[in-house]
Amino acid sequence: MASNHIVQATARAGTAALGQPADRIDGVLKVTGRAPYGYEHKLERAPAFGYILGASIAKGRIVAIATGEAERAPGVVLVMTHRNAPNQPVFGPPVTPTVPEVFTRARPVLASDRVRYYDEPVALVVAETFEEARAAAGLIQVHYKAEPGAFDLAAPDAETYRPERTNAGFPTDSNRGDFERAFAKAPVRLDATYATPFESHNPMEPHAAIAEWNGERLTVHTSTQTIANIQAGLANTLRIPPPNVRVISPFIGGGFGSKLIVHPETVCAALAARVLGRPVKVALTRQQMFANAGHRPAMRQRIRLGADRDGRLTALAHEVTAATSRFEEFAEQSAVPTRALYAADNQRTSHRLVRLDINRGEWMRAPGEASGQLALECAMDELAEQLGLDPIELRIRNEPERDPEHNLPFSSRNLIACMREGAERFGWNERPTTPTSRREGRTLIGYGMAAAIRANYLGPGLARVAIDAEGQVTVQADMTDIGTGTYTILAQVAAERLGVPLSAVRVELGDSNLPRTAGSGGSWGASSSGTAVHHACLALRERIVTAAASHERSPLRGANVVEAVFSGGELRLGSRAESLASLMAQIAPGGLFAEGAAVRGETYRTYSQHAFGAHFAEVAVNIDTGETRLRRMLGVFAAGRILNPKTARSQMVGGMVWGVGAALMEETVLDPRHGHFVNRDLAEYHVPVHADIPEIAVAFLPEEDDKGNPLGAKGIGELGNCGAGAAVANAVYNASGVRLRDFPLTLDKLFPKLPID
Amino acid sequence: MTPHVETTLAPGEMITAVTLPPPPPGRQLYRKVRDRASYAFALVSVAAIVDAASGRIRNARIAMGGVAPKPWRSAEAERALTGNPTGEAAYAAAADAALSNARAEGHAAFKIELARRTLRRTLAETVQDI
Repeated sequence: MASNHIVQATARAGTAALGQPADRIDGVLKVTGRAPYGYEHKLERAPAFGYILGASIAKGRIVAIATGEAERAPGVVLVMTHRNAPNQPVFGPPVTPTVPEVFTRARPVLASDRVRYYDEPVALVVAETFEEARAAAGLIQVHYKAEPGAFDLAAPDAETYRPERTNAGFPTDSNRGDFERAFAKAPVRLDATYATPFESHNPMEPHAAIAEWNGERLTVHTSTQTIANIQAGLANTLRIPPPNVRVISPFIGGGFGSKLIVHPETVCAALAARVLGRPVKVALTRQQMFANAGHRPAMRQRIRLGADRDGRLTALAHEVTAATSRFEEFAEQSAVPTRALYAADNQRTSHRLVRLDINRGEWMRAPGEASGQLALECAMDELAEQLGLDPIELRIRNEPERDPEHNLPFSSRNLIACMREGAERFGWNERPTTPTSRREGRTLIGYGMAAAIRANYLGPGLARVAIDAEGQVTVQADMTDIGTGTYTILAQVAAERLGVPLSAVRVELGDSNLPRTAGSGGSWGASSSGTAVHHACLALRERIVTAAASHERSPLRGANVVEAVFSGGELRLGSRAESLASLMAQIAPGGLFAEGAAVRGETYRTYSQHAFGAHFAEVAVNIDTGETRLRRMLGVFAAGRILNPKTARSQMVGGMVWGVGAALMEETVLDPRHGHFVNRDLAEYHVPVHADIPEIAVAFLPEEDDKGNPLGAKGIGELGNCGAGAAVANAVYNASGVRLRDFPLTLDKLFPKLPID
Repeated sequence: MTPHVETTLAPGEMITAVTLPPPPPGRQLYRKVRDRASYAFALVSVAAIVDAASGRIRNARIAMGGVAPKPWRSAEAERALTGNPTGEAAYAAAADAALSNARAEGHAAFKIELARRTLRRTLAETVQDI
């Protein structure tokens, strides 16, 4: 069954093939309001509106919940609580489940009288209008028995423990050589602890779902990064077979890792729709997103570096202690990228967790690198200063020849080239030579840099490519475009492989009826789905060529198939050519199609695959107030073949802005007394606004890497966020002479230490 | 007193003009200190109107935001400025006078020194072009 959402470029799109800066083919749909997001799909039957009431304590029990007044309120058709919600499986144990299980496990809602985190759903009101549902929710009276909870990572009685594995299944600890001895003997030593706060994804589109049942079959329109996870999660929660769940998510207003699993609004909508026998739609409010849509956990990271006087690292330790939810573990792998970044014979990394009574942490753009590189790249900067070395030179001197952890060759690694290129473009040689040495009026100017590393993954999956009697190509996969440009990239792959103009390609995504992919996550989307599309195109080409050479009505019958060229909308066999449209009309008027798969091959295991880059930032620090403003920023990246420089640049800029936010302003404040996130809206959770971001320049170094996938591409969705914050933090130090290790570097921490003037 | 007349717009009506009292003489400056460049509440803000000539301050009006539940007019700062010569000494004295009785607790304690510096600096900037 075809999806309702087909995206196609206009005829103007030309022959933009892979590597071209093609405009987004879904762009016009989006800016003209014709791209429906999760909450906006029009169904045949009018839905009822759900509104979630969240707990006003962080931990304890619901003693009584009086819903009578709400039930009688105007427009209300249902009030659901733990007392009358349909039976669901009990939520499983808190330990880190295996990697597949965490994405598919049952996630019951309104299933118990226990409250596990502040704002956890305790009731769902369903009414004819959103406003009526919301008003009625205010009439529900809940009496709680609150229990004391743990809300402070730094509490002296914090329950610290060692997880079995980190997120994404990495070993919790690593050990090489004898760190303690090497560190004690090192002539130059740094021992620094960095603190990073809770952060929230805040995608522009809140989590939302419309659920509709047809007998035992459920259809959900929602906003998700990975269709298969929602299908499995709902099936497990509702106890129905996965094929009974259809998930549709063609357009997503940002995910950033917060939309990888099923969330309370989707389960609520499905439960209510089942009870009512009519469609129900539920969205989280922005305020509800903070507690219910995941977060990056707060953590502190102790970095110890030992080096000889030439700056060669002999000892490196990266030890992480992070907050985790008591009821579901999430161990962000902050020290894992460190294992591959610098050569140091004696290295130790570890991850420990502190149980808090909060909701589970979730993957937030570059989980691991974003937090870990913020700490490590600041530490390297501090060490460079101790050594009197250019920070770039320090990294050059510690460039490993092979992956130090796995002793594998890198598939390609151009960190040094990125740093050198960036230094030249940025004017790194003109940086202030000592902190506080450059003044402009009432501001201190500083430059900073940092290295970027991000692992390159491949997510197994399928795609189908078809061509019809008019030569129109259709690409189908359950892959998602979360704002990254997937529609366009996949169209470009097909256009290039089949030699047709971009405008001849239609792309259908985001429907569980379509071939299964690994979705959008881990920066693997374009590479993985693109590879599946690539193979599907190759298989389709073979079918076309076979039919063209043998079909009795084919104008190319009998032609030499050894040299088959697809180009300019034509198939050329030897010296004979025919347009694909004309060919198809004659030999396969019903169309031809083929499927392709992305699979992890040998090289996935035998090479260490990462993208690399270098960040440069210039800041101005106000000497009176400590206000820090970015003046310019540059990122130079080596990330394999860039499939679309326009969308790729947007990805890098977005990631770099995340780095600025992480360094200077982002923090979700957890009240240690009551366990609630205090600043839960966009007025108080500060992401950089337009006025904060002046010139950001992005450059890609050409890089060929055939070890990852046939496209030669590497994941770039998160690379911009890796190390970017450290470049800004190092610039703040270079400007002000104040080294802060407590993020975000807000002015209250900075100005008291500024030189008085 | 007919506020129900002056402040209620009836159907078909449109505001065509707003009349304000004439501004006091002097140069005006508003400085807002915040955690990002825009769309954020003031951590501390200063509104200053300073009337000066020939190196002497004739009149000053000072108000601060972000330091109280309402805009904080500082008679102490104004007294410390009026009649005195322009210059850093006067601005420092005014800032000290404005904040000398300020109380802050816990995480807000940084605001006292921040307000002092911001007021000092804002006065200097306000006067420099007179």
